Amino acid sequence: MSKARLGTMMAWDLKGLGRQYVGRAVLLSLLLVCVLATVLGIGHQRQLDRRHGDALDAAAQARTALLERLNGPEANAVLPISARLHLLLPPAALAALAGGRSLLDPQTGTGTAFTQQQNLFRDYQFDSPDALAGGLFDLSFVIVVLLPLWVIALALGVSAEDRASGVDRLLAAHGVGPVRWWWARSLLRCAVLLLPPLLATLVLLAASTGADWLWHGSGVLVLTTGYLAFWWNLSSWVSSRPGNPGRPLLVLLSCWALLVLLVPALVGSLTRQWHPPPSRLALIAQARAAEIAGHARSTELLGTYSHDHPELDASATANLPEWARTGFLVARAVDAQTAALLEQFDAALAAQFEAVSRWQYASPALLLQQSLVRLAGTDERTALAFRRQARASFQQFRERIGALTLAGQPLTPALLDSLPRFDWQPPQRHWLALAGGPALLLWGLAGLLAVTTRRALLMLRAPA
Amino acid sequence: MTVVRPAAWWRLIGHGWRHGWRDGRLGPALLLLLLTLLGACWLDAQRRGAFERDRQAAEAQDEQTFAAQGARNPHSAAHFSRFAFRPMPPTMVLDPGVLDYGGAAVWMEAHLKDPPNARLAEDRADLGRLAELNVAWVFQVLAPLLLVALGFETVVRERERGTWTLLLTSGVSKARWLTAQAVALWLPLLALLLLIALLLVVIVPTDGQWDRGGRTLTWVLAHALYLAGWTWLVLWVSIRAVGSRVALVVLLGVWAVLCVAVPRLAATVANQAAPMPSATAFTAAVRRDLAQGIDGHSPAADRTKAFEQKVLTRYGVARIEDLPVSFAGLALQEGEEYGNQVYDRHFGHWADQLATQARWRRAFALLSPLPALEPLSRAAAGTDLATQLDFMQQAETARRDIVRFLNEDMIRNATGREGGARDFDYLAAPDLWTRTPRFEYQPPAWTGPAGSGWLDVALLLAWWLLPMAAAFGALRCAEAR
Repeated sequence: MSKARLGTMMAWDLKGLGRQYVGRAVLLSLLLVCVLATVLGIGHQRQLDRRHGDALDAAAQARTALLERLNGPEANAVLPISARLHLLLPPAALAALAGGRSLLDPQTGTGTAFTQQQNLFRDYQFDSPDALAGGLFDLSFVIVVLLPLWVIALALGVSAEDRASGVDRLLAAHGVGPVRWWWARSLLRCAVLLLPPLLATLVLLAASTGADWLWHGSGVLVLTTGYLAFWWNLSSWVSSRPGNPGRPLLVLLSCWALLVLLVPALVGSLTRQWHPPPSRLALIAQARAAEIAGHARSTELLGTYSHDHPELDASATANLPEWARTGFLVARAVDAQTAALLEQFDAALAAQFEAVSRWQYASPALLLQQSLVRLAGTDERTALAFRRQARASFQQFRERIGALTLAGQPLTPALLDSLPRFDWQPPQRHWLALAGGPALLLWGLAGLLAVTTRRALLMLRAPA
Repeated sequence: MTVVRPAAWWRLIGHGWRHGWRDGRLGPALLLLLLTLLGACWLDAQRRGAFERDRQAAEAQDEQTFAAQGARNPHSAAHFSRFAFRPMPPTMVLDPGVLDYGGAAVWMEAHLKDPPNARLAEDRADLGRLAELNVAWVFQVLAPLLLVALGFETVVRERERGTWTLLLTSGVSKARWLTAQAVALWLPLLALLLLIALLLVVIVPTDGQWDRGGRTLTWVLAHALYLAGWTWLVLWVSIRAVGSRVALVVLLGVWAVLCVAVPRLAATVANQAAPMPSATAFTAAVRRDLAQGIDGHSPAADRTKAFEQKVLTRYGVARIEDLPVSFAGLALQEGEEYGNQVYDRHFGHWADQLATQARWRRAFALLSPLPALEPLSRAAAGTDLATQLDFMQQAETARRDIVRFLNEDMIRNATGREGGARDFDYLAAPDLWTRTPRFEYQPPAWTGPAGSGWLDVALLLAWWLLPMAAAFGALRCAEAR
């Protein structure tokens, strides 16, 4: 009997929501914002795809041009130093959902026999600094920052309104308890709030070429629902407490400002303060000093190299232009001098990332934002993995073409094919490892708040 | 017209403060804001100090390295060239702007114009840029929230308590009462603005190159105007709202849209409406123009031949070997001049795209005052895109000067005459490197908002005046009712 009544009341609540000014405004604005985030997210993904496509085309054209030279009349004059290593990071599968660092970090690099490690990613993109500073209006921003505001708008004051309008007494007369009613209404309103972001996620998954529906879809689903449940239950708990009707809104908005804005800002500032990177300008100055010192002792560098490579035929370099030999040896010498400092940059970023990973638990918003960028593959870990793999691959490549050059070997198509190539290996991470922990915590917090809300509702109902 | 004594004004303003103080909101809110501001100010002052120390040390080391090259061909030195390092203005404490997102170093290499490298943002954990703890962010985002929290019930509270009618009949001018309430809300924030400006002078050392006074004054005025607009908006909603809860809901919704959603939406829409070319496409286009000519019909080989003929005619000789100057040096400089035209063209298109993006962002100022305030605040702090472009332009001018100086040395001395070496075999004496032009950044003089900056000022004035007019209009309606 009460089950049927509960259903009727839920349908009545849904109708009421559609009739209320606040309800209509919330639903329409949520829909509008999700559509905007989806369109702009797809635009962002296309931008990344286009950049990657341009870089792939340029790499293919450079290789074709080199092969033409190798098959042409002056093939014997082509030295191995003409070979290039193209370092390309494919766009993240779900950059449309959570842009993260996708515009900040270098995604392409070119290595030659003379390239120094610190110059590997000097081909910067031409993005506007204003656009980079402004951040992306993507679905992760909508879910992390804006969704809680709509949750607060729909959850706030419903208990008080029920009391004021007598709905609670009507329900009690029909055998529907306040807790049961709260659960039913929560499920209904949360479903309404969840639907637009989930539809947007589905559209973004469909538009993405590399996303795994099950992997990414379930990750986003458990995280978003956990985050929504947390804010819903927090709002319900705060608004179920007796007192001034204006105070819960103020409290909830303070919670929002604290958890969504202030804590992430503070965590960001402190982690950067605790783990500062070395100076890029100092790295440049150090590398240039090492370069000039390397040029001054190029004969010594060749002697050391020959000593380390006894297989090298000293007479083979007789016809080699001096700049070709020196350029390679100096680049090696500069890398030896700057390796420690360069490593400190990665270490500082990794330490900041670890610190954020620890402190993310201070704010559900930060926890969700970090989890979403990890799921999307636009996080620090991916950036660091690309940098490290690219450097290791480049090291192998340069050593190989340097050795071939100093051995006096001309470059042939077969040799070109045998040169090391960069093969990006994405960090292996299961969605459970990425989203499981944070989702568990969000759901745990939501559960605790649900228990507290239940208690508060029962106390409200209890006779004085 | 009645003249109101200052004491009467202060009594009305004090009434507003007393109320805020008694309900326990004003004190903690201002204290929290003050602590956040001091923390942000200190962190950025530290960061700027460390960066400037590193920059000066790197510049000194680089100067030493360039001078200690020993005997070398000037063209090798032109390839090695110098680096231009961008300084951080002392006023960056007010608004770091795009400092972390524009590169801090430009390699002034022969043949190539590079975009600035070494973006500081690459080396820091990114938290989605949800919020940044800096002084500008506190005043632009948090301070309006504080105004909402403190002022949403200013009028509606009087109505709910039934004291509004009493006030209307008490003889106090309603316009004066409302103005006093506005001043009571706005004045503490103005005091904080002035305090931060004072703090900037005390804790951040300056080398005198940046016009700190003028910039700080503009920054304070722009923010004072922005906060005044918010104050009147809060009061207008408070007059119009049917209840305090409705006032709070409306104001918080407006704040979330204006301060959180619209600025980010503006940045993303602008970036996609006027997209930048990829680095690969940009480089390919530059290379194509260098190889095939800007018009696409003058290949590099033809240009070199024509130039050779021109030089031979100018010097009245038949062979390159008979020239009294180094032809290699002349050809290098000619190549630079042509390359400069190509770079000017492509970087010009790039700057046009940036300007289009800026116009798109400014269009959003019709929805929120922040897209108008942000460029003004950054320009005053010397951390805007225009200052970044100015740094790039100065670095490019220095690059051309350095390369021309080194090419001219080669033209004069790498002639192979009197037993000397020719062209690329020539080695310049080491003292040439100490005479090579240096890059010394001259910050743009601050003469107030320039160009489209005045449009931002006009938009901010409108942002202040419209809610004020609306509030007085609503007050008149309330009186009439």
